[in-house]
Amino acid sequence: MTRIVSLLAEAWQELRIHKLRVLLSLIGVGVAVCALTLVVALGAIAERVSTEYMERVGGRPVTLSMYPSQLSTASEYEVFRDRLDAEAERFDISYITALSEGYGPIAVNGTPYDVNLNAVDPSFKVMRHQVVTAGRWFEAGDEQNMSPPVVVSSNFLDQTGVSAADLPRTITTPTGAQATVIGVVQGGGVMEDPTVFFLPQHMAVMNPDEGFDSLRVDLWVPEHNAKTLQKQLGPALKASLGVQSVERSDFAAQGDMGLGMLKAILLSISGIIMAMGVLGMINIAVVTIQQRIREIGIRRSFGASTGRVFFSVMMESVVGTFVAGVVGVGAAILLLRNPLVAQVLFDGLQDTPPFPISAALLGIVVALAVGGLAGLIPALVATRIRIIDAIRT
Amino acid sequence: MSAAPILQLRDVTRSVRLPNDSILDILTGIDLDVYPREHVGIVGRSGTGKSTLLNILGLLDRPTSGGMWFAGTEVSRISQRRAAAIRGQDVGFVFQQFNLLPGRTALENVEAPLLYGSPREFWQRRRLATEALERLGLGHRLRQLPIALSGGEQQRVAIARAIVRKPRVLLADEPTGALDVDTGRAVMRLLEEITTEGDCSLITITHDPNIAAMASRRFQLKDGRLHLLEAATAAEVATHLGGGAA
Repeated sequence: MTRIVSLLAEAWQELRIHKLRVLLSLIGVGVAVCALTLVVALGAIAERVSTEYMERVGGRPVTLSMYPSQLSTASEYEVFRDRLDAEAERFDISYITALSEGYGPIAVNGTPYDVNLNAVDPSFKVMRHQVVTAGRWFEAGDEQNMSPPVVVSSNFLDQTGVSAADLPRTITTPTGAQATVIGVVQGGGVMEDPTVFFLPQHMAVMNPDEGFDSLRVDLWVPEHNAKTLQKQLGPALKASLGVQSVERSDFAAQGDMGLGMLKAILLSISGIIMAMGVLGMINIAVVTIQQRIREIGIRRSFGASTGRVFFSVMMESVVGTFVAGVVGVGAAILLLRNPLVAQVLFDGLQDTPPFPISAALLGIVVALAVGGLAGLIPALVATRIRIIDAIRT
Repeated sequence: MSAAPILQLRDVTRSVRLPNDSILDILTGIDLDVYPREHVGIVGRSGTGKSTLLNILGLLDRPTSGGMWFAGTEVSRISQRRAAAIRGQDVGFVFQQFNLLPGRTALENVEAPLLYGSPREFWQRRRLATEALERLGLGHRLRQLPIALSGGEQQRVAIARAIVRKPRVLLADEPTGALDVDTGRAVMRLLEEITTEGDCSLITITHDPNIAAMASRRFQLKDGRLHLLEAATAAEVATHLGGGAA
């Protein structure tokens, strides 16, 4: 224990004495660690953003889908849901949503706008990462409202000129009935058609043409026993609800969503950055050790063994790169948490992703490894110094 | 001398192979006994092998042949690791050019050997180093860097560093070589004091007969061999060279 502490004390003293040299050699490592951490963190965030986008479109892993047949009215749908909910409870499934995608005109102040008309249940918000930016999402009991409540995508406001401050706001449905916009969710670009979400119970008012024909029901089940559940759920639902099949439908079922190549490219870039940092450091370390021969000889004269000299020089490098690593990782975190950067990177995400701890740990581990590698050569050189020659230098 | 010698050399030789493959004998048939609390002075002209002998005595170098014992233990063929351990614990060096570690304060310089000491020495290094410097009258210069110290002060820091682990042998290689006469004498008095007060032997290697004359036993290194100088002979040598034995 004392030996390790004394090694660290000696290393720290060396770093303190040779501030400028240390600073110069560690700037490269610090920048390289910062870049590596940033690249890895960005990769992780990109993966998260991509995953969240995919989950918005196709559902979270694992989403099982079924197509109920012979539903034509809201009351039939409610009966179906009651039975489904009872079966789901047996399998401990909490998130279920209907999903029917249609298209039709919605009028605001007498002006018609073509929009996507999607029938969904309240659980859709959690299952598809919907972010409410104004008003609220559907709640239990909304299906009983006389004026169907609807939630619109944010580009609906942009295209119709309706302000979020005006909510709740009345609009006219394709059937000429009145509906009430109760909330806004993030989504939809300038070139995309807006989306209007409504509850399946209001299908007759909101999208009578499509009706329940293409209605799908998604169940979000725990990932760890999804396969078993799928095997058990299929026959159970077939028996009780007449559903023909229950299939997995989320994008994660298809693999890594195309991120493998992105990760490989980012890691290659990181490797090149780190290699440049290491080479710079080794270069300075080897040159420096030649200037420290006398000092090492003096230390040998008062009892530093060959092993001790080796580990002292090695520890200087490791302690130095550890400090540089901490600074580099800190800088990467500060950069990514910068409000301007965060706004660009995380816009549209349900939650701002935390800085990936794996990236921070990788940065520190790589910094330590670089320290060990860069310290190895000068440490070996130091052990070969002849004491007598060194003292006379 | 009634006590057992701390250092014994028997028929020690040291040779080196030159680039033309010939062998140069630097030391030949060296016999030397050094006793506790004894001050041994070794004089010789430049190039006679004084520093080579000092390196062997300090376990920095190995004899080519012959035997060497440190406190009764054969040390002429021990491993580098063992030599480093004995050197750290029992041998202190005082060099002509002080060899202080640049950029470190006087206190840090004296603490340096304690980094390689026992756990007790490591954890108490600040106190031990301060005591050593105070003993040498440098209690007010603890935080000074070597460049801010005079030559005499630097040598006193070097002596403090050499004695901080309470060595049994103190090896001084031209300890006054970089100092003026008065400061040199003061430094030698300090070394004498340390020798007489502690359980430490002092071996001074010098070409200055005045410094050598302060030793209780004196030797002359000539043609690779060590010759004992009687007191009167030493005084004669010193007088002959224009100095006066103290």
